[in-house]
Amino acid sequence: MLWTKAWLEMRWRLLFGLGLPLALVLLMSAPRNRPAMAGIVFLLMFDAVHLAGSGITTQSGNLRRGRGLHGSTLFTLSLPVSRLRLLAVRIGVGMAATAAVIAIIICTVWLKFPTVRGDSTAADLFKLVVAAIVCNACFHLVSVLFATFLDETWQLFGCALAIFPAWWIVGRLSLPPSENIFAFLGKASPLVTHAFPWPAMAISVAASAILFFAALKVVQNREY
Amino acid sequence: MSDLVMETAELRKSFKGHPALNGLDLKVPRGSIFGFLGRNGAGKTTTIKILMGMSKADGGSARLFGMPVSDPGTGIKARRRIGFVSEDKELYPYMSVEQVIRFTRPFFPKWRSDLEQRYLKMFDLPPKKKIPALSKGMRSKLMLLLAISRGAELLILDEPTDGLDPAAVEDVLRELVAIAGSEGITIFFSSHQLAEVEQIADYVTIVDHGKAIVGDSLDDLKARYRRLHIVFESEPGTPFRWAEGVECLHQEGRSISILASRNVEELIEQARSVPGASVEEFPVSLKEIFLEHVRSN
Repeated sequence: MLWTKAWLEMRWRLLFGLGLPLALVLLMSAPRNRPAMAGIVFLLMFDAVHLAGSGITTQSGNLRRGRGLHGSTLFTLSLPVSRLRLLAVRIGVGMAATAAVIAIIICTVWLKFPTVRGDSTAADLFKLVVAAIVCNACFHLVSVLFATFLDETWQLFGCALAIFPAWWIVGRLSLPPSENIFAFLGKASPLVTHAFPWPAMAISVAASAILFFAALKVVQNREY
Repeated sequence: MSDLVMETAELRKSFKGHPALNGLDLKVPRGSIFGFLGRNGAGKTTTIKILMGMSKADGGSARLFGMPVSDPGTGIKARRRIGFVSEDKELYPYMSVEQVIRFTRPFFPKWRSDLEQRYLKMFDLPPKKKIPALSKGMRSKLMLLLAISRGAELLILDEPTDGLDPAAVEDVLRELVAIAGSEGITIFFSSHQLAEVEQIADYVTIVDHGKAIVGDSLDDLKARYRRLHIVFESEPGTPFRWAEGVECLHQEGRSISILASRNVEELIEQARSVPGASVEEFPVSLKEIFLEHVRSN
């Protein structure tokens, strides 16, 4: 039932997070728009995928629904469920929703825009979707960590303040694209390389695990 | 099996250096209706949150069903046996009455569908209505339904009648007494409403500044406590040295009013030993006991 609850809490946000970029992509995919819009649509896909990945679309780390520190949290905490399970379910539903947004947007763009598709195959598309989901997991966990101690309004700022400096620093490290977790839609994209960016995916998984344990620690020590 | 379902010893908790609980001792016997009284900020909700694992004590111990609540594993086991109504009565705003019932049911293997149906009807709760569309009183009733239907051995209710109209308060209190009697459930409830506590509680603890200042069975309290009105012939010149048992004393000219918790006969004899003094003895209400203790603490 916790899955249902998490789904009910994020469904409208998810619908908006998926619906808006998807509508724009479809609008721009009209034959007369296609050549001129290819660059814009790529940027749109880039933004939509990253926004979804950073949890903004789903707010899945948020255990504190309702007004202020209370809301319905006390009722949830009175249930015979561990805080680990509460957090894991929220993250699980959030990740699933995020994966859906990423997959739908990337597939739509790939299908509708030949310039983005290039000479890539369906297998390359599959690799891109998987790479995007895995590389985005750490951004999602950043949002989860912030959601454990910040109110909803401040979570967006928190995520932005953490992710943009990281993007800036990683950009200046001269890493090979396959090791750059921000490059899965660019130079390390499987649509170009025809391969998974394994190092970047491994870095993301490791960072996600660290962020998950940090979030869990905060949630377990938190007083309501 | 222990006769106590809930026990705290020397429980301490501070918020930013301000003590909320200052060595609280509580013993809640199995099957009792236990009234937990105190002013706003006395430490009632803090105690309940520690018992429910929502907050952590700085010191002392708290046990439910003999298990320490500080251990997350036993805390989950304990919560499976507890029905809870929080002070704020907040539920999920995106769910309807029937959705929130359907959501809560699977967490409790001993869920009582018969009680669920009974209270849905008795409280006149509209199943399709969303939570934000319910009045505070209706939300209180729904919270009670969710707490009672858990098939719990212990109900922890934080201001359960808050927001209810007088008729609904009567219904709820009657049901609580009935369910405690028929199902053998222990009910631990905090309240400001002295009349409610007096109406249904077997045991009472008055908490003030985070410490239990009075605690006993309600019958024993009422039997032990007496109000003595003593009128002397002339104003006593030197302060009178009273025997033990005087909880509060007010003097106005020649008359003295004493709230005594024990040694009442001795105190009466002592007063009567003063030539010309007249003594009257009165039973006291829980309200008097509460107010006198809280004012003098």
